[in-house]
Amino acid sequence: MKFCTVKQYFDDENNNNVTNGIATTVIPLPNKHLKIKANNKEMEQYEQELLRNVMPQELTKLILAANYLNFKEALDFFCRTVANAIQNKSVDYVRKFFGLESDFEPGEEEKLCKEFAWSFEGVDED
Amino acid sequence: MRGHDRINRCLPDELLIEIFRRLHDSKPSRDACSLVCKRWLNLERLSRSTLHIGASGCPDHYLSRITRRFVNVKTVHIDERLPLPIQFRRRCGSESTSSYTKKRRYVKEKSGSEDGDFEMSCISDAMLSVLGEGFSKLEKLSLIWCNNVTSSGLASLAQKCCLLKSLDLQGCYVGDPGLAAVGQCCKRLEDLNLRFCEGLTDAGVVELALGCGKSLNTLGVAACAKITDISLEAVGLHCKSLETLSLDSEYVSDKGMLAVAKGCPLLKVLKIQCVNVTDEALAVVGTCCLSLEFLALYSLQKFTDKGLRAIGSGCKKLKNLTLSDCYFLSDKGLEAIATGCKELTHLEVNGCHNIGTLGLESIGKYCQQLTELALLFCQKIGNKALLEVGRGCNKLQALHLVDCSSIGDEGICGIARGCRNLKKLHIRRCYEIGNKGISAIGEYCNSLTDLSLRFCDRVGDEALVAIGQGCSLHHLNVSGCHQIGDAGIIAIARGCPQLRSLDISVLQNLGDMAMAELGEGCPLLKEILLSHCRQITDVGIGHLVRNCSLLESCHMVYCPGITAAGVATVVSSCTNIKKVLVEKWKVSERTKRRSGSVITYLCMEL
Repeated sequence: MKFCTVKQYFDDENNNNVTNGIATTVIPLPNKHLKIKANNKEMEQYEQELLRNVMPQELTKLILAANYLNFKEALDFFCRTVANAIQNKSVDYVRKFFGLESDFEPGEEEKLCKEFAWSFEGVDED
Repeated sequence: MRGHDRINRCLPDELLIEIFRRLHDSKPSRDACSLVCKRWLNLERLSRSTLHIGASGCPDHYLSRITRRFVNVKTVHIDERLPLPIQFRRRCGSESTSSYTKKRRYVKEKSGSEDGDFEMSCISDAMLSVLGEGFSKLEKLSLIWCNNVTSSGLASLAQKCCLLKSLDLQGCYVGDPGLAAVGQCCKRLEDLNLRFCEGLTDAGVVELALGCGKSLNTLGVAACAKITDISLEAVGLHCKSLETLSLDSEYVSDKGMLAVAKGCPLLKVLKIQCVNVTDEALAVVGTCCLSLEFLALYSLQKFTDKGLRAIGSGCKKLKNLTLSDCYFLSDKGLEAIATGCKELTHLEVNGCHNIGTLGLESIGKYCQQLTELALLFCQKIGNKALLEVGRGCNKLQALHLVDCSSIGDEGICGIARGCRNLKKLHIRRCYEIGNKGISAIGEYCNSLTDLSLRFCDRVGDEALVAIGQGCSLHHLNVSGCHQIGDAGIIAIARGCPQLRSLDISVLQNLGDMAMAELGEGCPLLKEILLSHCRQITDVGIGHLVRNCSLLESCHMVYCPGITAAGVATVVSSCTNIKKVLVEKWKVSERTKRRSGSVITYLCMEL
């Protein structure tokens, strides 16, 4: 039921969206997911392992694959993994993580920083 | 490093947005992502749904830019108590900041604003209107101490934001027309919270109840002097779907309470701190509110066992009960609850000096579903009570004991043997509890992850050895347990590799050895508090941070053995550090510079 697109994939030989390597990671996921669903801690560990072994580039390919296969749980899982990896990190860290460069004009970034400063983190309750 | 782009070239917009959607609504994360590049800036703004604004001094044009940038915002918190952002504070100089904060507190206490060298502009009605226009999809709005907002501001926002689901007004002088407008325009309003709203009277609440009666699910009223029984009667008449009611008021009596109890049959959660409400009202709650699951009674001088008996006989679905400072409630009342409400899962007894061992014994006998028990300032509850709880409540997961001077090792052993699923044990100032009880916990309660023993001066290293052997703790607090020394902490370091947070404040016998072992054994440590530890030096701290690279928070005030060098080591070794509490003079210029924008520095002037 989760793999309506998979059948189509195997029928369609000229498929560039999902390479073999990625397919071997994504397809066993439903079974693992069902087994681990009850146990959040194991899922956390699996997530950590995945992050350590899989470079950011592969992770984005995994996201694409999961999206193409219409596999919602996997998509959610991989997106969350990426989000957790860049959660609470500085701009520079995030740029390095994905190999990106800033394309802002000089001074534009500082201006934006100032604007963002006007909203704040929540404070303790009364 | 051009050409190494690992994400922008492969992911389409909608998948990048999927990633942003999963970033917790933490502002630093979202801001960081926004500043990565232009594409991210544009995409993140579409997915940001929550804004926190400390609007004081926020120039109008910034606010309107914010509304134009973040078009999908659904939640806005405006809190006037929040301080200015750091860069603006620095510009004004520290003197103005202190007078600013003085003004903050002054305005909070009422009266108009003062003239000063620093202009303070709280969010105005006009700005609120702009917000309303910009965020038409707004679902949740909080206005906290927004002194300049009046009815017209709220009304114009209400007219533009008809999808509003939740409104929180605290310390705002909004008048009745504002609330009436919400009642007319926001037909989907589910939550309303009014606190210190001295401009609102019964008229406004009645209009709101009329307008939003069908959708209103949660209502909270606290410290609003002009809201009386009349408002509650309107709620009872129109708000048939009401499930949660929270009242903190001297101006409400049985009349109003009865009207709600009779009129709102779906009531699930009831929290009352109303000195004029009596058993009579509770009796009707017991008869009519049969879906009640959560009941909290605070400082009710006019409640007696009669009221509790009525609850016990009628509210069979009760799961959660809090009794705080209710002097006239005794064991008989609690017994009536125990025998009547067998589904009880959470019980808190706080300062009810007439509830003793017998009452708790009944709970142990009849409430087998109990998962959380909190006994605070209960001098009359003795060991037998806990023995009975241990026998009957095998599903217990959390136990809190504060200032229960009659509970000792025997009671704790009873809990240990009977409640094997215990995950959380918090004990504070229970001077009869010592090594024997805690060792039993270590032996039997192997699921324990959160242990807090504060100022229990009979607990020593022996107890911690047993805990280290039996439990894989995530959180440990042993502040003020003077007998604990290196041996105990070393046992924890060796036995609890999953330790995330540790509080060893005020432990005079703890030294560098323990710190070194902690560094070796607990790599996941995120938070450590070691203030007032006289024997810990730079050496110990150095060993700790060498391996605990995930450390985010470190409190180390009044540690004469730690110098500026130690502080510098902490800051430089821990890339995730977010908070360091230390004397200001221990922070060198170089350390200040290195801390960068990620760390939140808290230096106490000592």
